[in-house]
Amino acid sequence: MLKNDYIEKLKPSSSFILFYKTECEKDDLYNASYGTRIEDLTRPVEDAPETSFEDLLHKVGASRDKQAFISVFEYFAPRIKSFLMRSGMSPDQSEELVQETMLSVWHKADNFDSSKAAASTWIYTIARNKRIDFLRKHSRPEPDPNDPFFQKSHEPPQDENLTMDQNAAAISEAMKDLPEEQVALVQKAFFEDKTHQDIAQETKIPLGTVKSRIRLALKKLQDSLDGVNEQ
Amino acid sequence: MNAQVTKNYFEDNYYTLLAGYAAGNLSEAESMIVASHLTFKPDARRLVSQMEAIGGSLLCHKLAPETLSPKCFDNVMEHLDNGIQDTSPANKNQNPGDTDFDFPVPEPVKRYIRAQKKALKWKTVFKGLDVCEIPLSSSHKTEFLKIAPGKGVPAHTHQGEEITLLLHGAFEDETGRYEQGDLIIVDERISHHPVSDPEVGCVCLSVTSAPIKMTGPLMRLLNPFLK
Repeated sequence: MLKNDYIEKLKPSSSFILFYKTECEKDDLYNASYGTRIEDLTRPVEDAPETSFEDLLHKVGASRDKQAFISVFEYFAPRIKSFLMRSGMSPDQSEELVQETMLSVWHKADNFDSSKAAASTWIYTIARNKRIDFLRKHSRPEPDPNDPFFQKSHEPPQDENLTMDQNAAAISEAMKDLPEEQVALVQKAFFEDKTHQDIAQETKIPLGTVKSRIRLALKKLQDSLDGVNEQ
Repeated sequence: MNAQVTKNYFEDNYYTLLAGYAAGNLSEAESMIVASHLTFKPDARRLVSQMEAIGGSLLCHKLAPETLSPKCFDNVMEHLDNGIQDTSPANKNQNPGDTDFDFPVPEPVKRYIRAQKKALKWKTVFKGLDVCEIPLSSSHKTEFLKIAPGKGVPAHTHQGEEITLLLHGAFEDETGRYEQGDLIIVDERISHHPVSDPEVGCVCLSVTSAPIKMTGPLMRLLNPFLK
């Protein structure tokens, strides 16, 4: 079934879908219109829909809203493919896992809690876990809140639904102020399936320095969160 | 303590280990010990969530989107109305091995002990130090260490990285005192001499990167010569 058929069925209402449909109807822009490689990364959240991703995920969770899901797919799927390819997977394998990730997003959306994580964080962790399952053939060890040894947090639970959303925005802002080489190192640490020893060898920077730089960069990004949470 | 070890040594090691966990780049043994540490430490869980938010932010703003083939979208849309397909590897819980211990063992470790075919065995290295290996991966050695009160592990350096989680009691070395839930990461840049608490001793979980071991049927024959 072609993408346009879905859109017909879904009775497009948002300007995003209308724009999308027009694009598809123009000659063969089918591919070009979703997931074109955009080199200018300084552009602010390009092709992001007007409704926040948090709201879209809530719509998917609450009413199985396919239109909301398509908006999430449009933005995240090409980026998840990029993330997986950077960690050394072939384009075909990456697309397989993109599909699995997006299906999990659809099925688990009712568990999404915007007071605990921003949409981008939540989707990132799903894609990351799919990658671990696939590459390492094991599921990721995680702390179990029902474990008798699990120490509960004494912090008051977040009551502002917006906080995590703001956190994500604060991190993105802070990232702009980081020196390019620090961003590059953090990106390597997150997206290339490499140990810190590998990074040290590749960049010919001593291991201790690699670790220090990664810590300093992460700390700066995390400090930006304190600003948000104190407001 | 070695001269080249800076004051940020432990913080660097700790941060980068947690970042590796958030990024999903750790080995299974390392992930397991980090998940166990997180069980005890809410602050560390908070740190990991923040690092995951950094990952999400990088995903949105720093990666050039890759073009998807049309079938990728179509396949997803076709499967939306099907039930959940859990494709993650099943956790092997069929073998309820002995998970009764006289010290706290967090769930992320128990999960692996349950999956063992054989019962775990304790060995006495010398009087006051008992070890019990959990066979888990070829790249890392995972073991419990039980140190009698006031006893120590002889001063040693590390070839790779050694990650130690305090499960019970406490120990002290040149760098400080460590208690339940604390994680200590040392690498080849440091030599240390841990001594357990004189009253209660200690039990730790330790993960060390070990030399590569050949496991193929022919290569295994070479192992005696590689020792």
